[in-house]
Amino acid sequence: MPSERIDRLVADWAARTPDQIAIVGGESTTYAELDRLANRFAQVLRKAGVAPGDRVGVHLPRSAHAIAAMLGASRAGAVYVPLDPSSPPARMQIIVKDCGLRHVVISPDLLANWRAASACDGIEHFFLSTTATAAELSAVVHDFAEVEAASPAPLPPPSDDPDQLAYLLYTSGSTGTPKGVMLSHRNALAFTDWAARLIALGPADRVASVAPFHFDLSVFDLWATLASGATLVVVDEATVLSGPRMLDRIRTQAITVWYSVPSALILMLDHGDLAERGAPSLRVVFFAGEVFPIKHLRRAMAALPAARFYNLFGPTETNVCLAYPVPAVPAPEATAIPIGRPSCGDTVAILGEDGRPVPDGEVGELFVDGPTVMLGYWHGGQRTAARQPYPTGDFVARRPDGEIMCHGRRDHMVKIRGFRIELGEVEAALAAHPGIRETAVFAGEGRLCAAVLPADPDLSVLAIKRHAAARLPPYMIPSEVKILTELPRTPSGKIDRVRLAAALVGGSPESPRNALEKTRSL
Amino acid sequence: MQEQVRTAIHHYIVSTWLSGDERGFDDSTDLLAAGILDSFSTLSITAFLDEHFHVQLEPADLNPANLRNINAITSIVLAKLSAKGQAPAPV
Repeated sequence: MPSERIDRLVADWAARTPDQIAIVGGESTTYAELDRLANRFAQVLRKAGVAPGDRVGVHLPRSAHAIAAMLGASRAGAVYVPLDPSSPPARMQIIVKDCGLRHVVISPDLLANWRAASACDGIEHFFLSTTATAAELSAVVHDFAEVEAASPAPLPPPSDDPDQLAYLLYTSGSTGTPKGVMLSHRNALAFTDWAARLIALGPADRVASVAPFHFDLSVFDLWATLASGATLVVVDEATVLSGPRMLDRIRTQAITVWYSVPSALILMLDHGDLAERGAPSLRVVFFAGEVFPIKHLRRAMAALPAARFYNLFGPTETNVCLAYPVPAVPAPEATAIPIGRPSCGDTVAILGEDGRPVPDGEVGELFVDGPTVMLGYWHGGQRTAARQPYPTGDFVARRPDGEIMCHGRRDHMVKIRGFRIELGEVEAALAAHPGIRETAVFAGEGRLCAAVLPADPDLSVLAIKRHAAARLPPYMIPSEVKILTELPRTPSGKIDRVRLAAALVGGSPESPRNALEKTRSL
Repeated sequence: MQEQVRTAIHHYIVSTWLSGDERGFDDSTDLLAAGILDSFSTLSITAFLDEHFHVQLEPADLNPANLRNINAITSIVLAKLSAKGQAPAPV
């Protein structure tokens, strides 16, 4: 009987197989150790005033301590909020204010960054993930020794309700500030239980953790693995970004299950000799987050003949809602693979602009209903319930064989290396510079490009980049910045984004409208 | 040699990451605070050094201190080149 809440995970396995390794990453952590450390975090959080429903930030590199902190916050009845370790403190402060974070588990290094940027407003308690000299702050700083000294006894279970808010994942927001996607225990576990059953995940499996914890792919790594008594192998960021070292790690750690954006696999193909060396332990490869260019998918499947490949699809708001098991190496004439059929107990509808279902083969917007659809957004300090069924903003069409194909987005959301970016958020951050009069940001060939109309002729690209680096995570900083003396305009005076994109990134991405016309004329 | 290495790296960084705009940029500019250095550009810089100088940075070399500005990158490239020069040629 699967657990219905995240806080209930791990305890059963800690009783059944206490010495089984739960997490490898630096040191190894057994199920019994993880269970006790999570209880200790729950105890200190509760003692510091965390009440059920309160938000608790976790700002740590991926590690056993970060996982124990999230599980502990959940066991204290709190909502955990994973924060991106690579994001600047100014962006953290927006999130702190937005969801009223008062308690944050953090590493001493990252806390030093917050202090240096004077970004600690609102926080009442920091909990350090390692022992360090306490910093002088208006907040109470709890050393890790305090966590270690806390009772390992469990708190009474906070609730039985699987529909309570479990965690917030902050994604890029089109209005210029990140927004929190509110996900319940049911939202997470409907996906992880489905995925674990699909691949018969069990204690013999070793699952790689390569996705950041603020990124929804990690929900599988964390909770499917720990609900199945398997071992999570946490791979540090530097290794993930080095093809040869990543492949070494897969081989030496005998990883059996992998879930990442396609670019992490392509890196191993291009720089890690994956094709020559192989990775015989891998039996399952899940990929999601961006389109897998089919020529690279062919190479990956040829290099890993024993692995089953699955394309998983869904925005953070719906977790995974569609899945496609890739049956064989795609044929030479194939140009794209499907995003598949509904998964995880969800149902989908493909609706036209009139709100009515479109016939098979025609493009419409994907609507999703079911257990993985988020509770709503936490944004601007307000909670808004999600529309049910949820409109994903993705244009899709159903093939005669029932498989669904993707045809682009209706809005300005793009993906760079799997990270979801609202171009409006990047534009708003750049426009906050007093030397910038107007700006428009585009994505092309896996990078962001900003066109800038300066208010100050001395404005340099370096100044713009510095400004962006202080406000945005690295993947949102435009790689290319063009300072222009004028921007092309539409007859109504707005920036002509189509002409600008064509001039700057060599052609605009296919607009959904064009895709719509194209499929209709087929 | 030092100037050659420095100039090549400078040119590469300015053309790849600053759209060719050198204003305000010099060899001591902090690349992290300039939004230039991140895990992804580190890969690209590593590939550039390999291609142009046949210098391979080891994982242990890839810390922010070694890559914090052009002066630091120049130093590590020169150190690697001189270590190579002193090593016996491969048979």
